[in-house]
Amino acid sequence: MRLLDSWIWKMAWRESRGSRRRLVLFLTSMAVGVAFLTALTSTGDSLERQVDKEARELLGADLRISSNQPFTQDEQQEIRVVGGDQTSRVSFLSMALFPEQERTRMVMVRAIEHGYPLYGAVESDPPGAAGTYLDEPGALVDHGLMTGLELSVGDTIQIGRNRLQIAGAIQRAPRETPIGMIVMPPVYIPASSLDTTLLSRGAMAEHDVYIKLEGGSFQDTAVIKDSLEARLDLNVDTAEEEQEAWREVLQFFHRFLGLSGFAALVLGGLGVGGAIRAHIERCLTNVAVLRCLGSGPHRTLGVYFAQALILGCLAGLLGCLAGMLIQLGLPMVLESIFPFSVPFIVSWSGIAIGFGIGLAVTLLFALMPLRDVQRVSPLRALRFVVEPLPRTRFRYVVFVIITVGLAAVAYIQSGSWQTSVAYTAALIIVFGVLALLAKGLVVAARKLAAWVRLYPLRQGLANLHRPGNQTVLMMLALGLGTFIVAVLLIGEHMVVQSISALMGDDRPDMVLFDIQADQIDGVQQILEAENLPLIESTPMVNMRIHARGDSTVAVMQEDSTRSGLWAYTREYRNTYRSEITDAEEIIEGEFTGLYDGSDLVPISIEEDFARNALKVSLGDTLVFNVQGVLIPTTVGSFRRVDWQQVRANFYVVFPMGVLEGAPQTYIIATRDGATDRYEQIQAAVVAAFPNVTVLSLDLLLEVFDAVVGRIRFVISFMAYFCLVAGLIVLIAAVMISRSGRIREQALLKTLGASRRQIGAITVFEYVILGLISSATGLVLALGAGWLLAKYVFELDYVIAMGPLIVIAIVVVAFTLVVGQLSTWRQYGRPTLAVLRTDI
Amino acid sequence: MNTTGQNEVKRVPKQKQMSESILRVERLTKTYRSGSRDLTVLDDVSFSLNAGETCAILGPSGSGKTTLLGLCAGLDIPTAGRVILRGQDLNACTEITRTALRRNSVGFVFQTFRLLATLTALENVMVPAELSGRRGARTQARELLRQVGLKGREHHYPTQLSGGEQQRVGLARAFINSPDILFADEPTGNLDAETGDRIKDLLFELNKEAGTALIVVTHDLSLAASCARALHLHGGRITRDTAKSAP
Repeated sequence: MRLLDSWIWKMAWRESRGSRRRLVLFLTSMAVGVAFLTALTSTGDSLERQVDKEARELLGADLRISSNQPFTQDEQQEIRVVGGDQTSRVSFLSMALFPEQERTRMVMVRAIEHGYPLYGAVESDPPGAAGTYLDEPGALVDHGLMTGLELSVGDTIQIGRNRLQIAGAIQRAPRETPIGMIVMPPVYIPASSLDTTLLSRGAMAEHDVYIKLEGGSFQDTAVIKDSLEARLDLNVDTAEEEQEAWREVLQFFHRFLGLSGFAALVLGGLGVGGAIRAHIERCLTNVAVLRCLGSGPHRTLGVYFAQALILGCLAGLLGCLAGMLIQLGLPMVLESIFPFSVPFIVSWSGIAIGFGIGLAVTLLFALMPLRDVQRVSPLRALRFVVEPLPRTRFRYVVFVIITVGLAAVAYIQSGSWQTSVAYTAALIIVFGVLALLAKGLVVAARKLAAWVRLYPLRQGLANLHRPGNQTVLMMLALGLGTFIVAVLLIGEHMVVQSISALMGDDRPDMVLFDIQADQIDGVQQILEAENLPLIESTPMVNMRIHARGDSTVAVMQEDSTRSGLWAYTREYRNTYRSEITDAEEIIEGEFTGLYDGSDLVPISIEEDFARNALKVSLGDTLVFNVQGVLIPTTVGSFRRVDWQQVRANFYVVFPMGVLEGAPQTYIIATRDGATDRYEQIQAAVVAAFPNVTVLSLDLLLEVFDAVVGRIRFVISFMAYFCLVAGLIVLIAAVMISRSGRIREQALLKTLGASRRQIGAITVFEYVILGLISSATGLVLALGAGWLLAKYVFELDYVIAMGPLIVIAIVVVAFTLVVGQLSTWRQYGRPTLAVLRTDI
Repeated sequence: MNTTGQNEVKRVPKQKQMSESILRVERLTKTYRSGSRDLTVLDDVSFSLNAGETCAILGPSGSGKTTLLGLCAGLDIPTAGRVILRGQDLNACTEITRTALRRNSVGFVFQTFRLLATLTALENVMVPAELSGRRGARTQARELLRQVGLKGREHHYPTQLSGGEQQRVGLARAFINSPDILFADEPTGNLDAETGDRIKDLLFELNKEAGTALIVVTHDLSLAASCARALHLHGGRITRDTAKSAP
């Protein structure tokens, strides 16, 4: 094949007349995938640059030292030695009361010292508030909470016993993610205004010190981190680690969104492949004529290869241009998730990759039809009746080439062979199952046709087999779109249902925690006054693991070859009780409810945590440090815990008779039912005991809805891309088979079919197509939903039939509209003109 | 056909001796596999054709006419026997050589015209010349179209031409490379009698002028009668060779 042969290009151009409009339509479907990938790559570049640029702003410092206990004198001394600018922050969950609004809400209180953040800035509304709230003093409240509770600047917020005026809304701040701000709305208050009783023993708080080093490089901070961690039992984070963590998050998003772009790309590839196939099938006689006239097989192939090449280049170009437009819109999606801005940059590498991928995928999917060009015998020009080209084993070779090519494209996108293999395998499975289902349903429809008496319906069913009708391609396009949207709906419905189901029986739906021992009676009285049952009152004791067997945690930490020690270095909040709850089940060993005074205290550990985090077996010894007192224990049993229940669940449960004398707080679980008194109870409890936090299932659902809303936006963005690509492929596939359909209609008209009968045939054809396509997608989605329920969410499989039926109706309606529009006004055309014209 | 005007075709006919054998077919057999049995379409066919000679191949449907034409033109490979075209054994040639031979020495006229629908009349005629890389293809094609009476229709697409006009474009295309031999498959089969007669006249005039050997597959007895020789095929065998002059 000599692509420098000018005749090839001249002929390719002339030969494409009459097919260009159709080919351009298919090119659009290809361009959608290219556009998405280009936009994603360019935005990914932009995000990575931003993360690199803002690494210190993201952490708010060069170093962050954190502990869930107040720093000891020694620790403070060691931290001071590090030098540089230092400031601190204490964060804890607490109830906030808004007296003017008579509303309460659980918030993330951040008690801030002057100087925070050391890099970047807290962005507030009004802008000046962030600079003055520490001195005035005032509070900065999350902008979402401000809107939700209709708070204004100047209103009062009470945290603990202290009241402050709201100075402004927090728009953006270092270490605050948009999703995190929904789950736990932050409230910034001056450290000097903190009600320190809220940090009484047992309260869950995070104490941070932030350090800015003069000219501190990543290497310097890494050295300081190692040195501090070797000497102190504290967590030290560096800006470099923050940068790495965000890079990993970005990579995850890139891969997640990339999968949808990849699916759209493959759909586009199938579309372009289908278009080139249809175009070449139309041209096979021309190929034979050219061969008769003395064009060799390679030269003839060159003509059609040149057309595919031009198509691929155009798909790449169009995709890159559209990608830049999408890139303008992507920040809107991503800024609702990431805590930094996403500036628009022209990424030449992204454009080059997009263009290359567009071209490569087009050529990959053109391989099979192009191979047919070489197989056409010139004898075909002499024959009236020509049999279709026989199938050869080459199609398996093409399948392998396409698979390897797609894996390579996925590798270019993800930079990981594992991901690319997973992408390719996932797509092959989805497309394979869709194609098999589609073919199966078409065969079934064909068999059904023999039993149908109504002629228009029978003809509509038979039309699914019209040669060159692209039925399976249309089904793939529609089926994939249906599949993705249906899986999203099924998944979301399942999670919402499982949370809502928790409200359906006598289980607790409200939890009050951080209750001090002397507050229990008071809290109980409030609950009794509201006629709320005390379902459970659970003591909670803070402790750490001191040793496992003879090896202390300190010694374990010195062993640089050991990793995953987090389960040994973390703070535990354990309980003690005489029996297990109905959310628990002993699966191994024996639960001991009362300690008999023997050497070791028999404890029960949650099975998954025991096996995967602590890596302990029954009979192993763990020594706990309960606020200075060492308590040797033995692993007596493993429990399975239903974490979904709204109640106090624990990794480790002690028997009675051990921890009663230790300092402890309590968690009380109650049930409000559907009385909707959450706000009222919360307000009563917070007014009397400001340190007590109230969490209700209602609030959980509210937060879940808000978070899902954000994530749904991103996922929907991805789903609708696939859907758009699918719809374009559908339209193009309908256009490909349009001429056959119009000729058939003209023939039927000649034979005496009325406009009504022809209309009915078209309606049946497209309704059946839409029904089978949506059924294909829905069947696969139901299967995927079951897998999600069983292996990902581990929930009961609940199917939302309503939305699925709506999807099916929309798909059928859209298919019908596209089909009707493709033959619109054709009935009025003179039959002879239609039959004589090569449409 | 205008043969006297100032725009006379400037083609230089190849120097051909009437006694020179252009095509020799020796014991040609073609068998197809049909299901579990072999189907012999051509059986031990032999004949030869000299330069400038005209020959009709006649026979009922399924007698092997088109198969014979395809084999003679190097469009297919025989099961047995050989075809020698312009001194070259087609069996021994590679596909590239066969293609080159078709490009330089062979012309085709098809029953269904086989014009490329996306090319104008002029572009259709130009294709063989362009494939040969010859200069002046456009001028030559215009001249040929004028000769076949399609002046002014150069930029019309096949769908804008009648059947007769399309076949005239087909004739112009067939003669643009001054082939040594022209294969015509039912050239009047898709035309009414009057148009068919005109095409027949045109075909023989161009053939005579260019000194091209001509093989015509036809059912049309008047067309066959215009040829110097007629081969009658039946059941894949030559049953009668009514040559007006010995090959």
